[in-house]
Amino acid sequence: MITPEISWLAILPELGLALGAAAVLLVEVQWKPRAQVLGMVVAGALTIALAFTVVQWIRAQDAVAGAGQLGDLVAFSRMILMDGFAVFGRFALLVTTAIGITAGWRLIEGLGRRRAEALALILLASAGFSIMVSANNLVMVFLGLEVGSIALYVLAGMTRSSSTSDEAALKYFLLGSFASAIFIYGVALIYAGTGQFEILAIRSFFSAFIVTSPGVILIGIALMIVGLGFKVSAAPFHAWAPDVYQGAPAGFVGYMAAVAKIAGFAAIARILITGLGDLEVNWLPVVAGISALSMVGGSLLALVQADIRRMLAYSSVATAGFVMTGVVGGATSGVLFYVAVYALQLVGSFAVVAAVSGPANSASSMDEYQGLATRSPGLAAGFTILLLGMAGLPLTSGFVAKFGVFSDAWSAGYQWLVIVAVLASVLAFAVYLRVVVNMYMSDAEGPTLEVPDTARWVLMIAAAATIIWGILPGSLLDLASSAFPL
Amino acid sequence: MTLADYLPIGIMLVLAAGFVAVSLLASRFFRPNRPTPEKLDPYECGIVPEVEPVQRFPVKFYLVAMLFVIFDVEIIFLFAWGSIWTELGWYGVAAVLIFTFFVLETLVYVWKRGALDWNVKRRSRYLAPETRRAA
Amino acid sequence: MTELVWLVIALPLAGAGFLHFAGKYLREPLAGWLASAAIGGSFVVAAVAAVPFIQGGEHGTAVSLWDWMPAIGASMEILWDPLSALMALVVTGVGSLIHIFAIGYMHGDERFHRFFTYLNLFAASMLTLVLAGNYAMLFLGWELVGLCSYLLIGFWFTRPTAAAAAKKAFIVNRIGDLGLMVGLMLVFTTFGTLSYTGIFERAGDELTSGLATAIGLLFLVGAAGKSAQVPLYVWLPDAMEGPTPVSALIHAATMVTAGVYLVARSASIFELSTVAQVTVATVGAATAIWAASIALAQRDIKRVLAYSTVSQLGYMFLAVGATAYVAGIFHLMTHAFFKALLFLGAGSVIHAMNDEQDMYKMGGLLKKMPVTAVTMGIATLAIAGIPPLAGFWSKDEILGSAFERGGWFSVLWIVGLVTALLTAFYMTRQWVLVFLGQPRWDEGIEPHESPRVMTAPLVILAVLSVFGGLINTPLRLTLEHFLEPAFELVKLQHPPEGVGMFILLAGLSVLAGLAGAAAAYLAYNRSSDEWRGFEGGFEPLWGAWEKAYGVDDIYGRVIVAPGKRAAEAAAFQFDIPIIDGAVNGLGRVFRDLGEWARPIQTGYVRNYGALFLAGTIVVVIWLVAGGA
Repeated sequence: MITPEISWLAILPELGLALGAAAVLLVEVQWKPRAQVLGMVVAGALTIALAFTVVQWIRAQDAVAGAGQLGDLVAFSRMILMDGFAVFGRFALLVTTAIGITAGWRLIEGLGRRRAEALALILLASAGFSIMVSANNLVMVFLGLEVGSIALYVLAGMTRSSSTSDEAALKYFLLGSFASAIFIYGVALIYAGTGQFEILAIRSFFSAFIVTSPGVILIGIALMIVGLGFKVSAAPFHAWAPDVYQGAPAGFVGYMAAVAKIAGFAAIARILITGLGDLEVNWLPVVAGISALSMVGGSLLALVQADIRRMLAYSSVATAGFVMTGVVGGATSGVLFYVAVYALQLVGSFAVVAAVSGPANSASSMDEYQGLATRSPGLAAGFTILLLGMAGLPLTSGFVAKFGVFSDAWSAGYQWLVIVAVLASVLAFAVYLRVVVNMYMSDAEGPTLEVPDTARWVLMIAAAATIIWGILPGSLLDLASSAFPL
Repeated sequence: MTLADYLPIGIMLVLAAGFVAVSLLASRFFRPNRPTPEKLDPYECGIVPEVEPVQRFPVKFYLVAMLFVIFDVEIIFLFAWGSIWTELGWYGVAAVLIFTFFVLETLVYVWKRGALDWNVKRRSRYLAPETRRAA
Repeated sequence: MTELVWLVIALPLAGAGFLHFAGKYLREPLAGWLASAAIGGSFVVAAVAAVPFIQGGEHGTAVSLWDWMPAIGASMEILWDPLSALMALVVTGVGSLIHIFAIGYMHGDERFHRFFTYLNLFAASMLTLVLAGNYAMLFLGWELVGLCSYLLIGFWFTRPTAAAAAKKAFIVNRIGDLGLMVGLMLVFTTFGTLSYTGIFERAGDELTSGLATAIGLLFLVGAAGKSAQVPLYVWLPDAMEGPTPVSALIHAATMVTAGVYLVARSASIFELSTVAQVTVATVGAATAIWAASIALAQRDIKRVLAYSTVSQLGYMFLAVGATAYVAGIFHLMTHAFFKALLFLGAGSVIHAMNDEQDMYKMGGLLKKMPVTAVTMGIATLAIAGIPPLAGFWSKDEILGSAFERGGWFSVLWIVGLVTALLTAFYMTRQWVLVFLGQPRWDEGIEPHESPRVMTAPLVILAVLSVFGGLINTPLRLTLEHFLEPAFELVKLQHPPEGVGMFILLAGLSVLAGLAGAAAAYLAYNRSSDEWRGFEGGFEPLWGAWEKAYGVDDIYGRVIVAPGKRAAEAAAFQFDIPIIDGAVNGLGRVFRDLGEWARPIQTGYVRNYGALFLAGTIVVVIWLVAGGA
């Protein structure tokens, strides 16, 4: 019998998050402390997880530079990877989590004694998605996906008194289970075809053998694309997104959407590009098709929304399409960069939504943003930066991100996709500009808006990141490009 | 791998279905059939039902049942570990400790939150103010 | 000094930043003076840094600020060569005067400081555009000036017309930007970099003429959007909804010339494609005469100038299309002087007339506001091409170059000549209508000369309009020698040589200008019944011009309706016929598409599930069928 060789370092960040979740719950039931105390526990857990992630990053870079062994990066019975890609994804997740919790802090405070549950769920969701980005084994991917997703389903229904929140949670749960089932079915078919669960082993399988009748494998790939496409809300598997983005408490939506996108795209990139790269002639056209449909459909539908959350939902569908052009281009670093900067913008945007229409409220009509520039100039300015960033205006991080993935797709021979993407970008520009116009060019009405400090910080960080990475993208680009998968 | 390799599974399926069918049919043919009103009543712990069952059960039943299932399933994992724990060594000990910690921690939480109390009053302390008023 | 050239951009940017945060604490004129000081300082830096070029022999240097995306040659770098130096001087010089003018013009506006924040931001953006050392930075400036233009057109956003005009300008510009963007992508895929130095030196060897044509035409689309050329000019007349200093700065002197600058800057690419050159020149000539004819019949003092700007930009396009880049840039410069002067003068008039813009309700203002009248008169003569004023020299050089190039350009030369006639006519008509004749003011208006802070810039600009042309006369080609290093990679088109030819050509264009001016004077320096009769004599042509060739009946009603109602309706009903319809139509198509796709979102999980399943089946079939 084998004794598995164990590198605990590989799961220490997740372990830290999970223990943090446990600690929050126990502290809550034992002492019933003020919200700040729980916040400190969570901050501690996140700090520990981040610290271990940094250690992992150094290990990964050393290994690549030749100071260590590449084999060390495949840890935990080959279940978990510690390569740059995984660590970058983890890091992005952790930062997003920290900012997401800050953004939703007012909502969490308002949850009364259930706030510990919300915090624990957020930490567990991040732990799950963190497993997902670093998994080498498709079953581990699924496990992480489920741990993360189930926590998100509950978070969506966290404001139990609101029927829209319940509805959102139920819809998300039903459709999400559907997608998970399809994904795991795809995994099973891949196993049936290759006899492997491990992504790296699948890659060696395809580089060693030529499969003459790959029907089962292709169906497996298709189902995995569908399952993960759902998680990143790519069209036509996006139908849940507007309802969930609108119904779930505003304080959480940004976080929920952002971490699901990061983890989903990390998994897509790793499975398709790393694991199934040799079959790309088969899946590239389909992914390109999904990408084009998401970009165009998402932008068009975003254009006609009267509710800002639905608009953000559809624009995130479009963004899923934009990021997918990077998958088509085969560039993992472009994908990572894009989702990392987009995650921040999304969390920041929903912090604004939460500030304008209340953290637990679920409707946020575009009208509420009329004249926001006079009611709260800081909020409006920050939101404008984020919107322009998402639109991809030059000198924002969104432009660098878009440019990166587009040029990858272009040089991969998908010129038509890039042209569609550029056209969709123009459409998307109109979408975001509508909000800006609403904020700046309408008569002010209503009193000055009271914005919680936490929301201000989040907005400041997100806006600053959008601009700094737009002007000096070098730092993050370097990180992302040295974060390649094994 | 050809379709023939799946044959044992197919045979297994047929056998399983056949067993159920044969058992049900056999009991129908061989048992004596003497119905009485008592025998046709719903079975409720041997006590004669005096009123119609209420339409709605308190959610507590389900809550306890679900908690029970969680702890029940936990044991299955421990069985697997227990059968090879010597070979797994300290790694196995550490893993199972982490695992049981999380399960026990959950138990502590639900216990303290009052999920095991039959008394609604105590549990309602933990609800958000607006929900408490509704309840 | 060249190393400090980044200050040219940084000063107004810092001004904008400071005013954004601290502006509301400053008393009214102070914010304006600060902004003026910022851009004035920028002018001084630019002037000092340009000294080596004036001495001659300098080729320009690239000043690298920091790496942005080095992989695509898109670092923040400034190319400081004679062309960019000249553009920077025009932008900061004219810009400073307009800033100062605005201190008086915006007096009493409750968002006074915000206005100057935008003005400074615009100046910084425009300077980014002209000083850029690569196309990426140029594109950045390009987008930023568009944004500033949008913010400033809609500055009085409580007027629905202003908001609508701002939107219109932005949308039309986006169409142009798309062309530029695709053009830049082509450039990048061809050269693997966006850096000027890298591209221009290699263009001759690595660019096929077909590709050069494609890039040139795409650039033309971008340039036509920004510089309001046919068929994308429709936004500029509406843009007059903005405060008048904005019209002067952005929509006359600087931003709208960005397209000309783009073509001149890309001379090395246009050099390789005669098709692109001819197209640029033809678009320019067509725009010139089209807009000039519309300007003939406008009643709104600012709309005359707007169409005039479109027409003059057409001249510049004709010049750069004919590869007479120096002539084009020369006209850009002189036009900046006299058109800024005209707009500021118009602003002065509007200010005096309590925001009245209808020239039919003016008249007889010469005695009331002599400084404005005289300076505007000088500008009118300058734009009409009367020697020795600035406009004569630059316009004549353009026409001469087109004539010398021959062939199809001879036709364009004739078009340009006719346009010169029309220009003289409508400008003289404007001046006569505003300043001569009997007062036709509304009740209760008492015009007065504007304060010193407004007239001083007028006087300075008038001096420049008189003498500005002397820097490049056939006798002394100072500007040409100044700019030569920037165009050494291309062949420049010149006017024909020889005194006889010069006198012949100049005589023809002066004749056209004099004829136009004289006709307008004779027609309009009479009682209003008489000139109304004169205008009526041109029906139905006059009506078509007045409606900007629109055939819409509603428009006729709108233009008759006075004052604000006209302005209000204009944004919605104006220019609808051709381009506008297409623009709005396109927007509507997208909205309709979105609306059409909306019912998919029923809200029922069962429908979502069905959609999901359908999508899954399609993906599976596609993948499997594709693999087989």
